[in-house]
Amino acid sequence: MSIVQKVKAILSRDEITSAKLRLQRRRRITNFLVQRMTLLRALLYVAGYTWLLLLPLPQLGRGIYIDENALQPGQVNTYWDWSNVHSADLYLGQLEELRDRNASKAERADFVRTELLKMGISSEVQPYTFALSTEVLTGQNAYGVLSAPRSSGTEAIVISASWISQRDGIETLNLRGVATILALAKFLKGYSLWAKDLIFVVTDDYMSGMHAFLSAYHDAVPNNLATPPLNVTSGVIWTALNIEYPGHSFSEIGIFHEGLNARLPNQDLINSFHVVSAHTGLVQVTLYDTLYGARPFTELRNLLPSVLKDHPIVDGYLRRARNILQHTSFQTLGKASGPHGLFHQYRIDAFTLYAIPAMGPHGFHAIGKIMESTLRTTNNLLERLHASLFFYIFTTSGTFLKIGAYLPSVICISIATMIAALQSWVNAGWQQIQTISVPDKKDKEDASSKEIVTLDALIQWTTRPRPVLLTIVVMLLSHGAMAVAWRIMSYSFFRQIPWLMYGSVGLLALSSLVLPVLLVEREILLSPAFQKTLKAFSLSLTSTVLSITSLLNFSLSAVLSIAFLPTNFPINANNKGLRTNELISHLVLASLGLILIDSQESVKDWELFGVWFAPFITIVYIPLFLQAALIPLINILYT
Amino acid sequence: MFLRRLGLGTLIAARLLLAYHPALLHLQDDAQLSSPLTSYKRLLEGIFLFQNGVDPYTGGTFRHSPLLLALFSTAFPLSSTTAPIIWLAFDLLGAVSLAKIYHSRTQARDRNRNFVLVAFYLLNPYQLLPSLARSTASIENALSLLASAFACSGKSSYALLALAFLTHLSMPAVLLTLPISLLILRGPHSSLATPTAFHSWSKLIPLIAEYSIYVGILSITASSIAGGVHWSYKTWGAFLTLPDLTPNPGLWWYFFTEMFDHFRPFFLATFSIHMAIYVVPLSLKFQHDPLFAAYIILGIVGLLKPYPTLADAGLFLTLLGVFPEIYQYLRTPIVTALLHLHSSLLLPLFHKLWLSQGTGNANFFYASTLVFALANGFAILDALQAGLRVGLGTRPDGWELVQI
Repeated sequence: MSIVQKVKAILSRDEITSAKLRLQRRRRITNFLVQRMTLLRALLYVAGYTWLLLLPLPQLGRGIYIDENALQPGQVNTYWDWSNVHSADLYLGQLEELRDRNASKAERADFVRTELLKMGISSEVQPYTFALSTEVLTGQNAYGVLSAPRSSGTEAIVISASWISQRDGIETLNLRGVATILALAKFLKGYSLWAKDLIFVVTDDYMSGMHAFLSAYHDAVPNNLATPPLNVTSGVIWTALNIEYPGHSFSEIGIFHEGLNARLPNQDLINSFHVVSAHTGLVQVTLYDTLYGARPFTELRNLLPSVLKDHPIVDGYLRRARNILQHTSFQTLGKASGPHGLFHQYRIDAFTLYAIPAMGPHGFHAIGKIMESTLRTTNNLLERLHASLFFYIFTTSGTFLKIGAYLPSVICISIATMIAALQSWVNAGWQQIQTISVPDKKDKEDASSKEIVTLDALIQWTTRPRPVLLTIVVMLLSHGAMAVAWRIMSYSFFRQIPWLMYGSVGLLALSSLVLPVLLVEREILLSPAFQKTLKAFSLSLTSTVLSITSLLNFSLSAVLSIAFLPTNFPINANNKGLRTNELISHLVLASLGLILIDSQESVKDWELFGVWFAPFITIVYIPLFLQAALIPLINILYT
Repeated sequence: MFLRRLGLGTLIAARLLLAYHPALLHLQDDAQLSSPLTSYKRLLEGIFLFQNGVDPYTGGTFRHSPLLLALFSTAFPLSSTTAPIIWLAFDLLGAVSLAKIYHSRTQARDRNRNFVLVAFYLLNPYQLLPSLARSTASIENALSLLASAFACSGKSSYALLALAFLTHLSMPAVLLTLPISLLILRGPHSSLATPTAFHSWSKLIPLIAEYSIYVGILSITASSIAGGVHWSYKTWGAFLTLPDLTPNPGLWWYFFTEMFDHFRPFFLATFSIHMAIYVVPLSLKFQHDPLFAAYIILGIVGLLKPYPTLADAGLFLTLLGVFPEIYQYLRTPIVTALLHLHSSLLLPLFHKLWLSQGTGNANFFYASTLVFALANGFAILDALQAGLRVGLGTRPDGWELVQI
């Protein structure tokens, strides 16, 4: 048949024939898709988890660049010289003297205040007390404001150092950091080019001091903090640089940028610092506290064959993987990697420069030059940095993953979970019945003349009602019970008696499992309609949680996408071994959340900084596992 | 009986407690719960100006109807004590009207069903939150339900008066005149399964005339309150000219922030006409069941109006309870529910990322309003096809239905 004839045949079709063809075509497409849905799901899981594993590959990342042209990093002559280094050394001597005679917090703060006042910088001491449910934190911050000679003081930059430097749980004194702040204040006072006020802050403690300062500065003092209002203030803070320089000298500068609740500073700020440090200070920039050339995962490497052990591709992969894992460990828990993390909630871009302790070659000279040039860069800013540079993962200090390179991994898993949920929803409402009778031809011919077309169906599907309301009540019960549990976990009375607290939390979790079993009839609980509807709703909520958290906190959603995998498997009503395993694995995963909250002091993070990790785990994560555990529990109890 | 009363009592008490809770006061600033035309804070501002002898309609902040101004500055003075009670009263009015509509449609005296409907109206987050935010959208919802309830019971004058009041609060309600008048003439009974033609179209004319007279009288009242007709530019005019581009969950604001000024009039007209063109076809198609026509038109207006809030979507979803006969023909209820789940989480999240955290931009929030519109669109289309499908009855096994 020629094409012309074909077209003619199509055009001359009557309405019924074409409707019949359309129907058949639609059924073919639906069947094609439905039959391959499980395969598609499997592919999506594989794609998602593989993508997560491939994140450290250099092909997914790209090199850093400066987006905001006004920044002009490293384009100025610096004036910081050896005389300023000398003054820093003198400050350091005085600080060491304070340390050696075990000076009190008040003495320390007063020393900084006096020194700032001597330079002609208005300055003040801020005492603060945090009354937490388990402990009381007190301290004294000292800060000073250098008013910009060229502007009205509506914008400001913060340069800060905490008294304590904290890396890997080891506390050391940040004496050189504080000395740098003092010497910088003295040096920067001598220049009239500042368009923004400079605020020098030396905070007590590690995190709590900066939290007290920023709360008081922004007039957002929480109920558990007692501190007088600040008398010396300036305008809106745009950027903040926090210095940690605990060692004698340093070899490289490490960047810590993770903020509370997985907030990040604008990438342009860090990229500018990278450029300044590399070209003005001639200091290698790295991520966190490991040297740029370090070779992580030595144990893992030793397991590899010797060809691969030192292969550049393997080496690069492992180095990037280490940085991503470090990033994930901060972000998942919503913890800040340093005092800079407190700034982000006030829309201030901030990061910490960590001078990695070493015997050399760099010291006050390099850090002063870098600070001066970076401050000049941030001083150039006339408008906010662009909103698109808040979503990134640094793989090394010079390369990063864009949002489009890392987000699809979790989204693939989320879509796969949603498909599982929809499959379960369909199976809850439909059941297959085998029929023997085949509609005979006569019927078919009669029917084709009508508007309705018969189907040659061997397998018939019948509907059954889905207990939607009951399922929603059961789900609300588990979320509600854990919301009560969260209230208990945040009461100081319970927090002082851990066994009572975890006992009641466990009891509440158990009650959300036992109550439906006790109150609902056995037949309904055992019916596939109920179990599959519960599975469908629980999985669709899981999928939603995964995709929504991936935008707020990618690391958390990546961890969740791995944790929630066991809930994605279909219901095993009859296999006794499998369903016991299922029940145990769900309960273990649920309690892992609680263990994580306990070991990481996440409740304290919530109380002090408003980190939502602990309430999220208690009210969203654990109930989802309880819902998944309910199905094997019912099957074990009743069959 | 006792349990139902107890349940209702607890519900009302819980609503009141929530409304007085100081921690929920910040809801008043939420752009998804109250638009510039329904905001409680702007209403208070207007009343303050009005009572101090300043014309509230001279500035750009106050865009409520003069009728609300008169109501709340004389009969029901607004304060933090009275406002929760007034808003609860409007919600109860809406809930009772909803139950009335259900009754007159199904003729069933099922009190349990009644309770479920009232509870759904009071607890539906899309209704509850705007009410806690004291958005006047709650009053609009109550009025549109009241008008429909009166129309269902054949009280034509009351229905048209309520509709005229509603038109004064929210101009797109004028689009409901046709289906509500039809409803008065044809009655609320479910005739989706047995469509019959309507022949006495001319009877609509006196009803529409009556409605116009009410609107006219109310306009004269409003003009005498405001001391001139300039209020109409600020209130009704805002629906046509979109002067305030505060982000809302609707589809208009983003287009008009992006648009060059010389295109504005053309697209304003296009958007407004687009909202209106559905009225006549739907009223003709569902002439056998005008309540259903009104329902679909309410949904379309809620989706396409210039200053929608979550309350508009809430009204459409709650009204679904009145049409139990279409449930079995809904094709994608799970998709609609999931889209609503996603959009109700994404809307506040992206609003926060853009405007408080500063890590996102307008496109984020706009994308979430598109998800919300998709959810509403799915709900409307699904209800529409189900309403048409009822007439064809259940499909015998092994048969398939196609449209030719």
